[in-house]
Amino acid sequence: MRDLIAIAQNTFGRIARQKAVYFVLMSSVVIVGAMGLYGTLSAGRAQIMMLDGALAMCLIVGLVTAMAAALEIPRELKEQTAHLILSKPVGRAQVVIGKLRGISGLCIMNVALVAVASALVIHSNYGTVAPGYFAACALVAAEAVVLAAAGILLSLFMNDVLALVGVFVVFAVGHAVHVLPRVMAEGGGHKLAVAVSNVLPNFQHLDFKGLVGNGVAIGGAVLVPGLLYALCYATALTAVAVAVFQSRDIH
Amino acid sequence: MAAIETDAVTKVFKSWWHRRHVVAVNHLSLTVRENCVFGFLGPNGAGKTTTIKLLLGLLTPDSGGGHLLGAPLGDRDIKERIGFLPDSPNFYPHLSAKDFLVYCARLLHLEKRDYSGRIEQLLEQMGLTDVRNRKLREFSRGMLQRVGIAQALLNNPDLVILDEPITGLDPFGRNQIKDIIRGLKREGKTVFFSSHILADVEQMCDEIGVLNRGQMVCHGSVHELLAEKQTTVWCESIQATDVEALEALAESVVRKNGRWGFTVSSSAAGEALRSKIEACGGKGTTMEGQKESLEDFFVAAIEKDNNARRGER
Repeated sequence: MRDLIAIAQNTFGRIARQKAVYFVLMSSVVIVGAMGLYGTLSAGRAQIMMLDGALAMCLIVGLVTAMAAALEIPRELKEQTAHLILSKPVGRAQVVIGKLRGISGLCIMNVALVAVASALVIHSNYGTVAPGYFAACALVAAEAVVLAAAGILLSLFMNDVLALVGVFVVFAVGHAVHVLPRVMAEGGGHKLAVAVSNVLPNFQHLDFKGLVGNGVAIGGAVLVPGLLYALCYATALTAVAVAVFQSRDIH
Repeated sequence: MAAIETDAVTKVFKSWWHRRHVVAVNHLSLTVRENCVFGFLGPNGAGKTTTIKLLLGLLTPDSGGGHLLGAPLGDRDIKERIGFLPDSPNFYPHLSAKDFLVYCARLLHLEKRDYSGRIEQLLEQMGLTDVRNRKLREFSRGMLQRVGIAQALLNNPDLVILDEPITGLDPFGRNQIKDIIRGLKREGKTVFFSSHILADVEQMCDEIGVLNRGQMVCHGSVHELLAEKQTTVWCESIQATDVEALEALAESVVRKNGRWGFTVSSSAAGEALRSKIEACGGKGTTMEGQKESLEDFFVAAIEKDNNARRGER
């Protein structure tokens, strides 16, 4: 367990220093800070714009942080630090799980940072924050954790650039897959579409930005199943990644 | 018990769609006894690093197997007794030397009370005390190499595997590493290392193994493998007429500091010549052997193996 925590902490520290993650986080803070200007730009819908912007920023920061997962194991292999870790009494499962923990921790921290900063700006302007705002942010963070797990898995099959693109594809497919059963409304195609939409990541279970942005409160009935879905999906992806990493040669 | 033992280990790298096969290690059987400093030599691409990765369980052999300190290759628990330095140390640039060693100690499951003092001791031994809080990104290759060796010794291992430990070091650094390897030997540890710097290998190693194209070309003690190239028989006093007669038996004759030196091609020929000199009344004879250098031996062994392979084709 101690080695797992050490790997997670080291991964957290290393990714937190990555320029792309750092840049997007800083940009988000600047955009959030500038939210006070929305009132002068909008025709009376500034509060909704602020909520919308805050949740979108959370999603972008979560996505970019999760994308770093696709670079982690290839970088460890390239720099031979993976060789160093695996020459110690550390299992390959610990390496994969430790990496995911570190990246997940950073995803949650970055999303929380943007969420809290945005909430402060919204509160200072309107004296209140939309009900369910933090629940929606928590689901965004959960989505980022699933994307990080997908990034680690993809990086074991392909080079880092392709894995990065792969994470984005998972993000796009995950937000579109719920329409598949609707498109194929009838016949055998519908059943297949339902099966596919259940196997592929379906971020519809985690995406309540639209409701929260329009003032609809979301509570535990939405939050808990959403978090459980993310946890189960991330665990399944990690289990596959561990199995792949255990059988692969470390060149 | 041997520290390292492999039995006909083979590793084949297959390219995409298995169209091209590269036999990186071919039926390699190797035994390294305990408390031995073993030099693992071979030209670039011979399979040295692949062998080391097989020993550490980073690669899975296609056939064959082996043991490290009595445990099968890749055993996780035995790694608590092994230290390893990879060939291109490119450690975490965001960590300081001390933080990096703490990270490695945690991976080795060491308790803080055990590793705190050990880290300070190793930093001092490697001459890194002054830069212990400096980030590794600011370190030169030589300094990184020393940090790498420090992490390999953190757990006071019984077996130390070093991939090119001397490469990139200045003469002071090289001497320091040589002293450390000798110290490990004195402590009863086993050191297995690969290197291209043959003069250092010759000085440090008890045994060497030469690998070429994945196969062991020769393996044995340095003294056994490096045959005497020439022998000179020195004589304090001898008649000038006898020198002329003996000149025909030697490859060359020199006069140095009042002594006559007769050089022959082998120690057996030297012994025969010494008997003749003494029979002629020569006094104060001594013999001096000149051994083949490891570099000459290495080049000859590789060329011989390459020629044999060409002949087979």
